[in-house]
Amino acid sequence: MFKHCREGIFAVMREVARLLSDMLSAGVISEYAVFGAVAQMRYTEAVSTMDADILVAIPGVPSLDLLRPIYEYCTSRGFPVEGESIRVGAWPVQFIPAFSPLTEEAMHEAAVAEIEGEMIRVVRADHLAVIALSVGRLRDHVRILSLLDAGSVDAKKVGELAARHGLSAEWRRFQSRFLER
Amino acid sequence: MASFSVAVPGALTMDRWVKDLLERQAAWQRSRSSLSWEEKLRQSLVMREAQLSLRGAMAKEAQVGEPGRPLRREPPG
Repeated sequence: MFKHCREGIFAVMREVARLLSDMLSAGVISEYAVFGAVAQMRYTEAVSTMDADILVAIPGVPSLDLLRPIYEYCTSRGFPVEGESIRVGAWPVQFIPAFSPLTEEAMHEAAVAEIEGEMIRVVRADHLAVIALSVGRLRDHVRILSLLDAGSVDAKKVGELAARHGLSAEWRRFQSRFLER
Repeated sequence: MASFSVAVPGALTMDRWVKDLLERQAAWQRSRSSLSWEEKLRQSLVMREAQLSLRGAMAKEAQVGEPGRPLRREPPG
């Protein structure tokens, strides 16, 4: 089982990295960065996740059917659409258009990581924490706590980034709920 | 009102032992964060597969017929 998983995940991540790189070259997307739980795991211990989330910028005039070019491109490359996701190997990959100045900044300033020789852009830990703060569900708060606990982010820097994006009140609430004793 | 305290023999030792254990556990948890990203993604996939097979097993367990009828169970084997 472990051997299968090792080969499986590497093959999937290599395939995802290649697909993203090809989508950039073909002009289907103009920028991307991995975020969500898959990105979180670069900075914390492993967590269970059902899919991989990718922040994307799509060139052209925004429309209601924003993700259509991505779905069409992936289908033409043999990756089936499953609900809101594209299936790459065993992994559903969900593309999410950058939805705020914060997510746009996170995408511009993403780190570059390497998986099995393929380069892939990953959202930085501080941006992940502040995006989680902006979403604000309990599981997002758990993500911030995991990042803090792993020492991947500094509470002061998260506070400053949150303030820059108008999330000071949310950060104060988070601090009083989880960090102050 | 009278107050009293009871000395429990070995309580201090136990307290220190538990603290040491928790510190070792925290260090182990921190060390898991410093594994490579690939290794953590692999662990995540193992967790995902376990979760999915557990869900499948629970869905089978929860198969019910009409209201009032007992849970249907697959014959063993």
